[in-house]
Amino acid sequence: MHAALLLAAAWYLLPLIVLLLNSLKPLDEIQAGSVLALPREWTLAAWRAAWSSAQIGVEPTGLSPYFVNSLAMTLPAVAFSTALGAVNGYVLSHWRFRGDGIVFALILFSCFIPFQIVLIPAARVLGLLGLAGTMAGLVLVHVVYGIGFTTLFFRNYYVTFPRELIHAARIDGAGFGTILTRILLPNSLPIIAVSVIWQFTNVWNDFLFGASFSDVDSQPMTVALNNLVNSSTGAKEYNVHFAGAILAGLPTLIVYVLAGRHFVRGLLAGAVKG
Amino acid sequence: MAVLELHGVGKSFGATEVLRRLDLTLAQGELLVLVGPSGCGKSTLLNLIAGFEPPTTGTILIDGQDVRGVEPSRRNIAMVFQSYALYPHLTVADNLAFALRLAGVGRAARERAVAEAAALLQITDLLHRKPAALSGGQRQRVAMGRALVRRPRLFLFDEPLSNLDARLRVEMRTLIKRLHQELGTTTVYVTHDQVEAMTLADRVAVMRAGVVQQLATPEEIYHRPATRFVAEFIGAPAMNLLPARLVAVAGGWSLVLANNDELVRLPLAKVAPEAITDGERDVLLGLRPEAIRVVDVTDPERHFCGRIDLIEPTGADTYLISRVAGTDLTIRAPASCRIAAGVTVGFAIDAAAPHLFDPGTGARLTYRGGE
Repeated sequence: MHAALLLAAAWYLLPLIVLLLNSLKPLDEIQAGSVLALPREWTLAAWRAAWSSAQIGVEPTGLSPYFVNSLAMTLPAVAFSTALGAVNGYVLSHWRFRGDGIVFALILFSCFIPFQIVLIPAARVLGLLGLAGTMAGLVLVHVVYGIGFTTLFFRNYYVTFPRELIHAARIDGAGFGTILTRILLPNSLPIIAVSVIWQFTNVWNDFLFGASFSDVDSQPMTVALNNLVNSSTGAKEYNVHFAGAILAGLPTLIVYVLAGRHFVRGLLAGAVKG
Repeated sequence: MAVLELHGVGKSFGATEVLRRLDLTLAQGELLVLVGPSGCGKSTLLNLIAGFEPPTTGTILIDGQDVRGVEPSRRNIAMVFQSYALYPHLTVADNLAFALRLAGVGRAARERAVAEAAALLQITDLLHRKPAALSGGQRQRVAMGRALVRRPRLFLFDEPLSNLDARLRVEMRTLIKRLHQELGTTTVYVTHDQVEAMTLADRVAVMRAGVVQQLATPEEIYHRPATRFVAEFIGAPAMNLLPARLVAVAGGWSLVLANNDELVRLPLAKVAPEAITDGERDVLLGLRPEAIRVVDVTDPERHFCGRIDLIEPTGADTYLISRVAGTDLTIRAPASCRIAAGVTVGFAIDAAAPHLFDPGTGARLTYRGGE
């Protein structure tokens, strides 16, 4: 039982180990030896290069400006889509209105629309809004795309909330907003964690929207990493590429480690009562 | 003045009518219990009074004011829920103070009100705890405290004791009765437990399928049930119901058990003449377990005989089960009763004891037994 789990874990960790080991080697060691060998000479040079001096497109800036871009894109996108999801989920679970079922069905449907289909309409809308090529435009696209998922998360979480709790709050004088902020949200930590992890992972890792809707000064990390790896000048600096890849993946890992405990509870909340 | 008035209040969800136009007036200080099986509309009625749902028809007046469109928080009511509905992230003290805080009551006044309610319910030493760290009975007390703090005109209780074990239920029932006596707040109390209804109520409304079957004092409901449903629902063990025939005889009526050729002569002088048209009719004979006395088979007072099949001692009373005319009859006997199962005994009935119902409609035949 445990052996099988360990084996599976090792199998999944293998690519990360390869990345890590080789990012700590000088380039000639990679070209000469096995990718699985330990570095003979340990060095952080590749990490420094990836962060601050590697050639990204035409500029030797390293990944750091794009890391900042990604943060500037991801944090507001996650915050807005989670907040909107909470409001939507609250309304759809505890306030009846004409056509609420259809609204929920449509929002749910948006989860199944592939990215590629909306590229051109989204570009057109961003153009009309004057947001083409801006960070705000990129955030907007991610927020809109994320609402379907976050609404689904919060709605399913709040449906399991006892109606009597809402009733008690209404008798106590809490209105629409007060119930959400004073009663529901303080009890929503697990599902907030789910929404944040989900959105952070998707927005941070997104390549297609980033490549389609960003300008040079608003490109996210994923696009920059692609540019780094696909630069065709000189020899392939695998150690720098590997270090860059880890840098690009690190934030989602950190978010998961920080919020993962709640993530599992949030996922189970819909399935198991109490 | 009436604290609560319902005029023709009805509620439908789509084509389903869950509450049929009902009228009700509650005087200051009165405790009304709505009782009935699940799905009878009693909780829906409470939700209409609280203002969570608008009625489909009719008007609700609280303190003489039409509350159509008035928010629950502005109806001057407080409610205790079956699941207690305590705010899980707040301490007991904050749960109690929540309404006052939202109403903008100052800190000093808030703390005084919370302390008062907590003392009344003996939960002062729980004030700093979260609901998760409380037992069911303690949660129930906190839920009541939260209602008390607001000093409302009208209390609404929605099956508040249903989640408690039997012993706590009795204890909390007494507490609710005592609080009501002390505070005198007008109360509507919903339950499916007929014992709670009988013990707590000034008046009981027995409901079934959205219709109030009978609205009367517990005594009236017990001794003069308006319908067969009320007769069966109120009282434990339930009233015995036997198919029988009512036959006109010289100077009165005679009751004949359907599956028994033995004639039971009862001086039923009080059956209204309009209950019988052709000199006789089928009826449903209702007998409370305590209305049947066990006598010797040869006793001249005995009305019919039966074999004792089962004996159920409960401590204070002993219940005897006997199959008569195809129906299991339950008889309440004193604990000192020394009858063994399998023995055939005689049964005697007081002339005033029998209830008669229409076997078709279940309506009480205008027979005023029990007077």
